[in-house]
Amino acid sequence: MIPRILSVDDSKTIRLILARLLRPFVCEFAEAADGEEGLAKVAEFQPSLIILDHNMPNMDGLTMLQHLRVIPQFKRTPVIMLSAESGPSNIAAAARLGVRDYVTKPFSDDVLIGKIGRIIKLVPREEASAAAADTPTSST
Amino acid sequence: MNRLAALNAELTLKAWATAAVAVLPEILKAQFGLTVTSGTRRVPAGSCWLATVTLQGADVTGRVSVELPEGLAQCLSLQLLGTEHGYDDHLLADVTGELCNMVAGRIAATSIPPVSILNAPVVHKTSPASVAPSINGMRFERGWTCETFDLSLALQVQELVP
Repeated sequence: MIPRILSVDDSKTIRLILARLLRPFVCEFAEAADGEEGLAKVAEFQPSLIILDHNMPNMDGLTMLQHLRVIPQFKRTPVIMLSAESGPSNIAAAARLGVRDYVTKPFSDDVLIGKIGRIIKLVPREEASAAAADTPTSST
Repeated sequence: MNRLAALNAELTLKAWATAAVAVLPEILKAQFGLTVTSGTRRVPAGSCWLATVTLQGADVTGRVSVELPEGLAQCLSLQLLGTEHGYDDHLLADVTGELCNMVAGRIAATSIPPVSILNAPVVHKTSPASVAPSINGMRFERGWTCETFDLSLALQVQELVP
């Protein structure tokens, strides 16, 4: 099953960076610009992993997560917080809501990809193409 | 009591200034791969992007503002995203806002007692010789040079009256 990654961040720049970072890997990528849009997108996209900002207009990340966690289907959906806020109270609140990791901005591309890769299997597209080419086809 | 509150605001401004002066070059290096050199605050030539984030603690409120010329905003966007997405105003505003957000986040993280970020960055395109939006209270300013462009940071702190 192809992993589906949802970025919820009000910054288009951050969403574009994530799209660029994930492009070499076999996955589907979707984005939302705030918590409200994020909740709607979760229902439609059914992500394997959510990368979530905290401070956003309309609905912040932790509020989105509170709403998400009461839906049985998404109670355990893995979440990585990616936020400029790194105060202990935010980190503690995120941990209570089952966040798997907390990455503070500025962030290193390699560190973020490493953390994503610890939660879902990231297969490089080149590797997947090579494996597909090596697979013998059956003929009747 | 007012004197105590003013002293608290002054100490807060000093702590925020110390943090900001250290973290802005770190952020530009870590996230954007750019180095800066210290300079005096100069009003950049041409149009600029001004981003502001509000911080609030138990007894103080304040603003962190970052101002950069159009050319430096383009440079930051190029470093993060390459040329693929061009340089439209929406993206340049967003990049400037993210830089300010990161600086504010690091100030908030090191602040004792804790402060929170109150809002997503508010970003405006400004004309030359504009100044950061003003609140009453104390102010700190610092300038840097980055990729031949002038970059400035302003902090304002005001005590909250109970």
